[in-house]
Amino acid sequence: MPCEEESSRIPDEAAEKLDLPPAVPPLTSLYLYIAGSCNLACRHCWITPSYQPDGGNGQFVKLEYVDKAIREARPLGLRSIKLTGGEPTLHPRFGKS
Amino acid sequence: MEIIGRLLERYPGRLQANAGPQAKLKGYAEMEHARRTGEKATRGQMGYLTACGCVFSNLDILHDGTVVPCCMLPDLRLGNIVADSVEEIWRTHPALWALRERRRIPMQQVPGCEGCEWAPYCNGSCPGLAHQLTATLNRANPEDCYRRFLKETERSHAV
Repeated sequence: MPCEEESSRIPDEAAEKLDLPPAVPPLTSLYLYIAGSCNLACRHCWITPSYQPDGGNGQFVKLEYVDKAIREARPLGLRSIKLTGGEPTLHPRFGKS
Repeated sequence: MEIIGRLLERYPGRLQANAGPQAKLKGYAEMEHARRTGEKATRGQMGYLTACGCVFSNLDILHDGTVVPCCMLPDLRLGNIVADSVEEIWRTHPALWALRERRRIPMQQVPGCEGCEWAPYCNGSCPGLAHQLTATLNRANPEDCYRRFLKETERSHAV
C-alpha cells in the first residue's frame, strides 16, 4: 500500500511557517491517479484499474484541474506529488508542456 | 508469507517493503520485540488504532477528479477537484477528521480485539482494508492480525 508513515511528515520547523491551525496537519503529498486505464500487466501491481487489453476506458483527469488542485494544496505545505494511474504515461498531456 | 520469511532469513537486510507480506512480518517482529523488552516502537504508536498515517500527510485524486483519503478507501469520496477546494477538504472534511481521530481509540476497545494479549502492541493495520472487510472504519484490519497469524500458522513467533 502506498502509505506514508507519519514520520515522513513535514518537519515541525517548516510546518510552523504554514498558516494552519495547530490541529490541521500539513498536506505534504498528493497522489494523482491521472489515467483511468492501464496497458501494462505487471505481476506485482495491485492498483485498480489493472491491465485492460482493450486499452481501458480512456479517461484522464484534465490538467487544468490538476493545476487547480496543486494550487489549492500549496498553502497546506505540499512538497511532492506522485503520478500514478492506471498507467500515467498514457495521459495525452504526459511529457508535454 | 512463508516464502518471504525464508527469504528474509536467507538474505538478511537485503529485502525491503513498506507493504505486503514482508511489511506484515516486520510489524509482527516489532510487536514481539515490544512485548519481550517493553520497548514500544514509536512508529504507529502501539496500543492504539493509529495505522496508518496517510490522513496526516496525503490525499489521493482519482482520474475522474474524485478526492479520496487513500486508494484503499475508494468509496470514501471527499469531493471532486472540479467543484471542490482541496484546501477546504483537507481542513474541514468530517470523514478525514474521523479518520484522524481513530488514533485516540485504545486497541483494547476495538470490537473484536478486546482482551487480546497483543492489543498493547498492535496498531490495527490498514483502515482501508478494515473498512472493506468490516464495513466500518474503527476496526482493526482482520487480514493483518498477529493473533490470527499465529493461530493459522501454528507458530509461536513471527520470524
